[in-house]
Amino acid sequence: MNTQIILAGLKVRPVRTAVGVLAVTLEVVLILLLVGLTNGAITDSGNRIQTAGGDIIFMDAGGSMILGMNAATLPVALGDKIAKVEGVKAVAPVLAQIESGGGFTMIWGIDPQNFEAINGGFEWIEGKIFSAPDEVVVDDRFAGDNQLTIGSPVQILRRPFKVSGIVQSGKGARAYIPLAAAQEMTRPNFCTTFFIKVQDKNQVKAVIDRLNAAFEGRKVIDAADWTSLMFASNAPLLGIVFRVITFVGVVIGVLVIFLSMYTTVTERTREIGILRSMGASKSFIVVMVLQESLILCVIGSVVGIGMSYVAMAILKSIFPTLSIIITWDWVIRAVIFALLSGIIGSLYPAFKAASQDPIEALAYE
Amino acid sequence: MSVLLETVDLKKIYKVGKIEVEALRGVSIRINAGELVAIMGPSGCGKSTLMHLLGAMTRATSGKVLIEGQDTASMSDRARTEVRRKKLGFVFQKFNLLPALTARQNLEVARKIHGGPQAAETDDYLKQILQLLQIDGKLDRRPSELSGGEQQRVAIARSLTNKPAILLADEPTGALDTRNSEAVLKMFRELNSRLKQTILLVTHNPELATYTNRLIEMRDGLVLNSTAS
Repeated sequence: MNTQIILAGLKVRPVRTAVGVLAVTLEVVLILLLVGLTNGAITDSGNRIQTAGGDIIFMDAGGSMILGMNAATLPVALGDKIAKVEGVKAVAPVLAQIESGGGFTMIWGIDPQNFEAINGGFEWIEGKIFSAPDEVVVDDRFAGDNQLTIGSPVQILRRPFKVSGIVQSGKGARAYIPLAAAQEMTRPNFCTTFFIKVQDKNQVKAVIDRLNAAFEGRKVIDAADWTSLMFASNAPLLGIVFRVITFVGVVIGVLVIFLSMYTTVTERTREIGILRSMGASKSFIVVMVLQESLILCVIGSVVGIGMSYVAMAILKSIFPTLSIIITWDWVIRAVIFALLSGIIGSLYPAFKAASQDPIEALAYE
Repeated sequence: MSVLLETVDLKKIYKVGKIEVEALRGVSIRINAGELVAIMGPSGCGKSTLMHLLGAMTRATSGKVLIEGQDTASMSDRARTEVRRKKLGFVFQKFNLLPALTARQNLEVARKIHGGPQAAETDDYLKQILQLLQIDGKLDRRPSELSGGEQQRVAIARSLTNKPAILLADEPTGALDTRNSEAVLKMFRELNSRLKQTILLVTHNPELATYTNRLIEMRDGLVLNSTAS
């Protein structure tokens, strides 16, 4: 490795070095944070539904795994028929909605009696279940985000509500409103989903089979499989999202590395001429430029990984409900993409440097 | 004495736009092993072009450049690079040291390119060169911390790291004051007499010629005469 020349070159041009490192840092942070946010949102949403208390989730045939995106197409009366299926212990209709202002917040319209039969009762931090149509129960993260206490007014789905209780976060929705209030805003007597509790956990598969047989054309899902199914059903969309994020990151990296290495190669024309006159081969020059670029990328990657975790901590402190999941496989991918953009971005400058005529290069001022 | 370097009817034509400039018009010279030769002539006589061809830095339009019997005039870029790496050493008017590196690192980079061990002081030959050039105590300085004469001596040491068959120096005292010029020229003579290093100097300075064994005079792309100094 031509360490001496490379390190000296990086040291002599600190601004250019810093800009190159910064670009790679930005690329890594962009990839890790955006992918982390997407993964976090889906995982968090999936986990909360999975742990809401139901053993089985019953939806309309074309229902999305993102519950709040479904229309209220299931009549609540269907719940009585589901309850009669052998092995079913309790059924709770839920009308799921998404509040999209300032992020995506899951709001469920529930019937408290039915729902508590499913989740075994809320874990109350303070307050109690709603007793009026304009009351809402929120989880502690939603309350923290919006600085809510018992009795605080809050806008839910563009309607005024008053907080009646605050529950432990992590299970189900961020906010619960009366089922009738949710139906009034969408479709009376209908819901989006039924959460089903079975009598014997070992019989979940059997109950699902019976439900499928009794209600042909509906979607009946084992709650334990929800998160993985959610990722699988959104895989094509996620794939596109991740590819776009990665592409944008790599393009930024390639362009900045290209400009940085092109500038350095032009500035160092004479030095390259000196090396060529001493007998340095074209491959020696190409490898030297690529190695310099890769050093920038390695430093940028390390700083980028660190900065991603710092940014994640800052974002979480500002938005406690935000879920960001940075996984090691994406850390490795981000580093590979950073190195790749370093190689792609420096290829042309490297070959340009290597193909310089030594006489002309030596005459360069 | 064996012939180390020879040119046969060497011609070089440059194209500047649509105009052809005949820089060399048929140069034939011979340099024997162990000689210290000066090529002299006024600006534009073609001596730098001749130096570039002898240094395997460019291809001739026609004719031959034989270095130890190998014709470099028609070689590929890769082959000429190898000749430069293995058989030639260069000293330039502007020293051309890598400015970000210390003198020692400049030597080490050259040794890296030449494929030898990198540490300069591990080589007895190079140790001898450094002592002869009186720069062995200044190896940790960067070029900007050295005088012009010292920089040129580091450049000479660098050019010798591959034990070249021939050392080519293009106006080596052109950027030096009289005192440093004399010192550098004496060192060339020392290298030639003590280490039997073949050296070819290109200059327009007649005084420099007095330090050499032989003088080749050029004018208008041709050799006028070759005389012992």
